[in-house]
Amino acid sequence: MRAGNRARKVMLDQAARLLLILGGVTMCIPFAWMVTTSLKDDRDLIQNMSRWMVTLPQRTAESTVGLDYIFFTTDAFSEVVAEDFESEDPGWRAEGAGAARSTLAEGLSAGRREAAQARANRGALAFTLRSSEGDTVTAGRIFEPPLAVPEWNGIHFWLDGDSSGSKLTLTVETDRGTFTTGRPWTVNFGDWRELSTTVREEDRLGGMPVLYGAGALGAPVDVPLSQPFGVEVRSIAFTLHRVPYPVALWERLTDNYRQVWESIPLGLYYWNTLLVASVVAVGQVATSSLAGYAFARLRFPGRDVIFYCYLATMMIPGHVTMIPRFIIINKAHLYDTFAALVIPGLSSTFGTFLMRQFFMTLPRELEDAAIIDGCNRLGVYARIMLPLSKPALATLGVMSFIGAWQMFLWALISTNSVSLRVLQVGLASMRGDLSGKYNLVMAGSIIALLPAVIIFASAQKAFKEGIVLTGLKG
Amino acid sequence: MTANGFRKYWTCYLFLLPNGLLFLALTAVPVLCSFLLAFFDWGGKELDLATFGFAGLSNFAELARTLDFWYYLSNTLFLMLGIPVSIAIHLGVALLMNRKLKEIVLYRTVWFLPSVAGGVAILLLWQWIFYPDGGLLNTILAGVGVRGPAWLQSEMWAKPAFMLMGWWTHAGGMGMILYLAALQGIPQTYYDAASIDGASAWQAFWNITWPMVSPTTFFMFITGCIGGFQAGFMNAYVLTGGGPNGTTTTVSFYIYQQAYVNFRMGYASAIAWVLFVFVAALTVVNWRVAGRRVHYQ
Repeated sequence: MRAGNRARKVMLDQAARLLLILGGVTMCIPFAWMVTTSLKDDRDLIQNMSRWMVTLPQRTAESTVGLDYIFFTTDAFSEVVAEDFESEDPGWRAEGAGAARSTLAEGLSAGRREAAQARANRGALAFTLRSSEGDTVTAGRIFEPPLAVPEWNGIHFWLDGDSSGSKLTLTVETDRGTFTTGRPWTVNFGDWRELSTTVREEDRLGGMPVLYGAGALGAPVDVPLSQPFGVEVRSIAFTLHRVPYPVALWERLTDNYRQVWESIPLGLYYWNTLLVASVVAVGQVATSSLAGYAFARLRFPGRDVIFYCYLATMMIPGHVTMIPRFIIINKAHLYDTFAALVIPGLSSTFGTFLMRQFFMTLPRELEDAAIIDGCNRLGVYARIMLPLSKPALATLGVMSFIGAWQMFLWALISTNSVSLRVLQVGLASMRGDLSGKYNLVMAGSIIALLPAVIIFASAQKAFKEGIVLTGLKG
Repeated sequence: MTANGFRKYWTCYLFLLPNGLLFLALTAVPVLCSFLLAFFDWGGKELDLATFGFAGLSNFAELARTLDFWYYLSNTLFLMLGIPVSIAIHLGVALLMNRKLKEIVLYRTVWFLPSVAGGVAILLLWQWIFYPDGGLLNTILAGVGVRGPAWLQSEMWAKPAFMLMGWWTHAGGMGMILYLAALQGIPQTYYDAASIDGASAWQAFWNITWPMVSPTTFFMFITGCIGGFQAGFMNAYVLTGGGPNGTTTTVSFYIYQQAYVNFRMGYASAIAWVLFVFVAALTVVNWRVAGRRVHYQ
């Protein structure tokens, strides 16, 4: 009998374990999918959408890039000035350790020879970087006499890249100064791609497009600040910097995260959310415990009537009160302010109810003793009741914090400006901001989730106790 | 109240003051206002009083005539069909979690993860999972030779997709923890006695566990139904915009659209009150019907 029982228990334990592991895996798969998606680059995402593996940069002995169709304007179709150079144009030369200037296929690796040959009628400049011989190579040309560009606003060109993760910068020397890219391009796409960069006021020739390959193939996200202007170009130079493999790998894997962090003010959303949630948690605990104490322990005319009003409104759906609440906030000229976000959270009928229920369970004797000793009501509340109700206070604090952290609808309707956006609303708008680039959306979501998971995991005990406390006694 | 009475009780009111004022301004007054508003025609972005006009019952009449509203209500009810499944999952997981395994903390953490993460980020993840060509779900289905539907973009599958998402998100969440607490409150002696009487595990479940956790089941069913009526806003707003063709528009999303997109505050208030009537009616029915089966110790 006993032995049979034990065998049955062990069997049930094993079955439970199996199911829990299977279920746990089911819980984890979407998160794993989220992580791998967040690591993919655009090309990887589109070409290998259903693949789990992330295409990594290749460890290559040498890096080769090809250039074609260079225009001194961001609009490739404008007829302003196009430098569509011939393969035998002697003006173009590559310099630097290990540089090899080649015409057409000569310098290109075998895999891309066909693509290069397809462009044989156009001509291309290819230059190779060999790691054994140096870390940078420059290719370009000096214009003698200078090339007049009447309406200059940027550079547009085709680049035949490899998957090495090398960096490419561009320098243009003109009569109005030297312009360089604020940030280099990362060459990690294995084929031809159209790239362009615009002249911006702060750093002259602007940084690389934040979402390269986006929009009109490489249109920068930054709006160019300056109008096109006339320049005389003295020289143009492309420089390829070889990056050590671990660095290339690291940059490749963190690329989406950096892009999201730079294009979406997630830090600001975080700060806003943290601020709102903290103010709401503190405010709600304070007002709820005060009122809860009054309802639980004090006797005054109208107490029960007021308490029943509280109870009755708890049953009315939030949608009912939301509309007049919005109108009241609007009429009080608080629309789109920080106050609009926190004020409705400062009092809570649920919290008041919770605190009242908890205070009811505390023994009266302590209080009576304190009052006999000459302590007033506020003193009783502050010195006796509050220290005794730490678990309930912590529970309410954590719950209201989480509630405010997850706030969505109210934040959406009561504010409008980006500077007041909270995390949830920011995430929802991110999808539109990133125009459906799921790798970036997933990276942003992970950035948003991670601290929340850490905070809640560390507060898990208080959280769980709170649920049990409120669920069974509420 | 007399001045004397006020002098006697003013500290009591002081305790109530901060909470009470906010309650009055942002809960009690809004409840009354919204009830009145349901009988008025008021809208426009500026919310000026010039456009304020008495409408009698016309908001309610319009609502009754609007076929879309009844469709959205049926959407809401359809999505609520997921609630019993969800409760069953909670209980099942809680039964597993209640076994005394060494590594139980690990399982609890992993299963709890989706509810902790919560919010919009999880919705965005699921949008990607439901992506028709190359999304995770259809990739897995293709692996076993099934051609998956377009999920969120399909009129037929959008609602089941939402249910699936809900089950996954909440499987190991608060409902499970509530059940776990209830299970741990059942005295072991009951099971010992049953096992002496030769009861099978199945019999022990039906005759001990199920009745003993019935207050929790009742609580979850009631709160689940109340929540279910008001649910669906975030899913619709973030994932589908209420589409395709209104299939995922719930009453709560409809209220949002009317109030804050079309700025028809009066009409939206009327919908909210109709919703309240439905919630209240269902709660009363639940209380009467299911409440009788609850076993209190």
